[in-house]
Amino acid sequence: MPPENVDPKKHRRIDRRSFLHKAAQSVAAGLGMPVFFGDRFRWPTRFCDTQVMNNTFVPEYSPLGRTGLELSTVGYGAMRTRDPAIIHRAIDLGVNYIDTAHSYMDGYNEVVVGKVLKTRRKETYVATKVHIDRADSMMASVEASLKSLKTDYVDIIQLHDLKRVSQLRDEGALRVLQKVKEEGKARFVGFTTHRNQIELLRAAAQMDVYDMILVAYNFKSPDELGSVIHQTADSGIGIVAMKTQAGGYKSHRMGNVSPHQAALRWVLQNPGVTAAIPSMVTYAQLEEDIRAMGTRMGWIDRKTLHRYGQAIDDLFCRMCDACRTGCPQDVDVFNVNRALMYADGYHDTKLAMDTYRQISQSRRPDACLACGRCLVRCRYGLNVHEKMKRAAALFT
Amino acid sequence: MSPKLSLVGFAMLIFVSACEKSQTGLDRLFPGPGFEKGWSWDGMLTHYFPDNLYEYIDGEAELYLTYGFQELATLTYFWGNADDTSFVVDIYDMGDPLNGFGLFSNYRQPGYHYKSIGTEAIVSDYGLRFFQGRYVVEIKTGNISDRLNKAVHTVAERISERIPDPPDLPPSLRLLPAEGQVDKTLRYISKEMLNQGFLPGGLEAKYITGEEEIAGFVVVFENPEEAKNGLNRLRTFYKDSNSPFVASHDVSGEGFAVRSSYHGYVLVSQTGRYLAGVQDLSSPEKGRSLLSRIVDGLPQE
Repeated sequence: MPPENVDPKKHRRIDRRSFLHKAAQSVAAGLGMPVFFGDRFRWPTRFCDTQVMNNTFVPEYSPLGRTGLELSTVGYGAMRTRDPAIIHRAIDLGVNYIDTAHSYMDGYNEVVVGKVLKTRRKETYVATKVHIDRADSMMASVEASLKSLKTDYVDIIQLHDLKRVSQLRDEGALRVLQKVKEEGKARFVGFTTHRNQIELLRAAAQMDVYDMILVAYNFKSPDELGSVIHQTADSGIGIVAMKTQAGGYKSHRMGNVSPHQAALRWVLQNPGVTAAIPSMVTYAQLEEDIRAMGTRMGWIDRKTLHRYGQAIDDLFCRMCDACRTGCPQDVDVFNVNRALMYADGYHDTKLAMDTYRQISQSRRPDACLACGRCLVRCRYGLNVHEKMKRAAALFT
Repeated sequence: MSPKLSLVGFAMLIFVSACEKSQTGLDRLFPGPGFEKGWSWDGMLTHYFPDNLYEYIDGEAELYLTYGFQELATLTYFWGNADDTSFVVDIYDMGDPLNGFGLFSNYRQPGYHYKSIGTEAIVSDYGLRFFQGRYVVEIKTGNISDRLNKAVHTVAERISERIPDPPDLPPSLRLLPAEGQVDKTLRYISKEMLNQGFLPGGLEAKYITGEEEIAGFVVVFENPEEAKNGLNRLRTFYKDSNSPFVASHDVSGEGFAVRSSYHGYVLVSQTGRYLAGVQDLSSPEKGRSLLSRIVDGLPQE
C-alpha cells in the first residue's frame, strides 16, 4: 500500500504511463538522456557492466533534494563490508552512492571504503557520519574519516543517530557542520535518525540547514512516516532510506522467496525517497538488490511483502486482550505483552520496566520458566510461552 | 513416595533448575558497583535476544546474528552521580568460542592497541573490546580520562575472571598456517566466504610473500561432495564473470587458477571437504608456495 495522504498522481505505479516511461527510459539509456519521472528527473544509466550482465537491467538515478547530486536509487550501505571487491563490483554495476560511518567497525569500515575511493573517487558520492560531541572531538572525527576514506572531502557529512529535535538545533554541532562545509571537507550536511523520526523530519523541514536525511523506512513503517517523508522531500531536503528490510528480522518461513527486491521497491515507490542503501555482503545479494532499480512495485511484490509481513508479525502483540483468562497460573499475559511492546516496539525501556513493575509479583511470568505446557492460545498465533519466558529474562 | 509427591518433587526440580540457569547467565559476569571506590551502577540490566538485537545496535546486528548471537546483557556504570563520567558494558554470548573469535576478528587489525585481557583485547577511542571463549565484551566510553580508563580496565579484568571459559583460541583456527601470517589478520567468517552466497564459512588471513601482501583462505564444507560442488560453482562464477582462467600447473589436485576482476590472480584447490586458496596475487606463481603449505596442513579425513 502506498502511504496515505500522498498525492497518488505522484506515485510511480505500473500503469500505461509508467510503462511508457519505462520504455522511454530504456531508449534514453542508449542515448544517455534523462527521463522525466513524475515530479523529478531520473537519469537512466551510464554505460556499465549491467548492460553486459543483463540486457534488461537499467540502473536508475534520482536527484537528492536540492543538492544537485544524482544518486543511484539503490546505494551501497557499507556497514558490514570488509572486502573492497564487492564495492568495486557495485560501482561497476552502476551504484554511485556509498554510505559509511566513522563508528562502523570501530573505524575500519571507512578504511575499507577508502581502499575503493583511492581509485574511484570521481565515480562515487560518499557519505559518512559524526556523532554530536565536543567541537574538537567532532572535528577530529571528521578528519579521521577523511584520512581513512583517502579523500579530501565527503559529499555528505551526517550527524549520526539523532533522536530529539533539540539535537537538530544543537548550536555547537551546527557550528562544526558549518566549519566543515566552509573548509571544503563536506559538500552537504544531513543527519540520520531511527527514532522519533516524524517529529525530526517535520522540524528539519522548517530549518534551512539540512540538505538530506537518512531515515529508517520500510513496508512496516506507519503511513504517517511515508507522508512526512514526502512532505519533507517537497521542502527540498533529500531523503535516503535505510533499514529497508523491516528491521533485519530473519524469517525462516519465506522458503526460497526473497522479500528484498519487493521491500526495496516498496520504499522507492514513495516519490520522496531518492535512494535506499541496503547492506550487501555477497555478489548475489548485490545483484538481487540492484535489480530493484528502475522497476516498479507489482502484484507479486505485494504478495511477497504480505507473506513476509505475516512471517514477522508473529513478533507483535495486537493487544486484543483475548488471552486475559487463559493461564491457570494467572500470569498477566496482557500486561506482560504490553511491557514487551514498550520495550520492543517503542524502544522505551523505562516505560517497559514501569509497566512490568506494576504487575503484582504473583502474576509475573516467572512461573512460565518452570511450566512446560502453556494453555494460553493467541488468536493471532503468537507464541505466548516464549514471549513470557523472554519477558521473565528481560525484566528480571 | 506417592505419585503426587513425586510429581511435585519433579516440578520443584525443574523450577530450581530454571532458577539456577538464570543465575549462571550473563548477569553473573558483571562485577558489582563496588569494584572500585566511587563507582556505582544504575542496576538496570537490559537483555537483548536475536529478535530484538537490532533495536540496540541497528544494522550492525546482522553481523552479530551471522555469528550465532544468543543473548546480550548491557549495564551502565557511572562515577558518583555524574552522568558524564560513565561507561556502558555489553556482554555478548555468541554460543561457542569459534563464533566469539569470529565476531571479534571483524574488529582486529594490525597496528591497533592490544592488551592481554581475556584471550585478546583491543583498546580504541571507543573503549575496550575483548573476547574470551564464547563471550565478546564491549566497554564503551563517552569520553577519555585516566579515571575512566582505569575503571574500564578493572571492570574488563573482573569480567574476564568471572567468565568460566578458558582464554584459549579455538583449535580450528590452526587450519591456516601460522608461519608468514601477518599478525592480527586471521579471521573466521561464519558463512559466505569470498562474498559468495553459495559458499559456507571458513578462515582467511594475510601473508607476506616477498614484498607483496597476499591472502590465504580455507573454506570448510560438511563433506568432500559439497566441497567439490562448491569448487564447481566458484569456477562457474568466474566463468560467468568473463574472468580468464590460466594454466593451473600451480594448483595441485582439483582446482583452478583465474585472473579475477577484483582480487588479482586467484588459486583454488579442493582437498577433501576443504577448498584452499590464495588470492590478491600479481602472478599465479607467487601463490604456489602458500597454497601448498595450506593444503599440506589440512587434516587428512
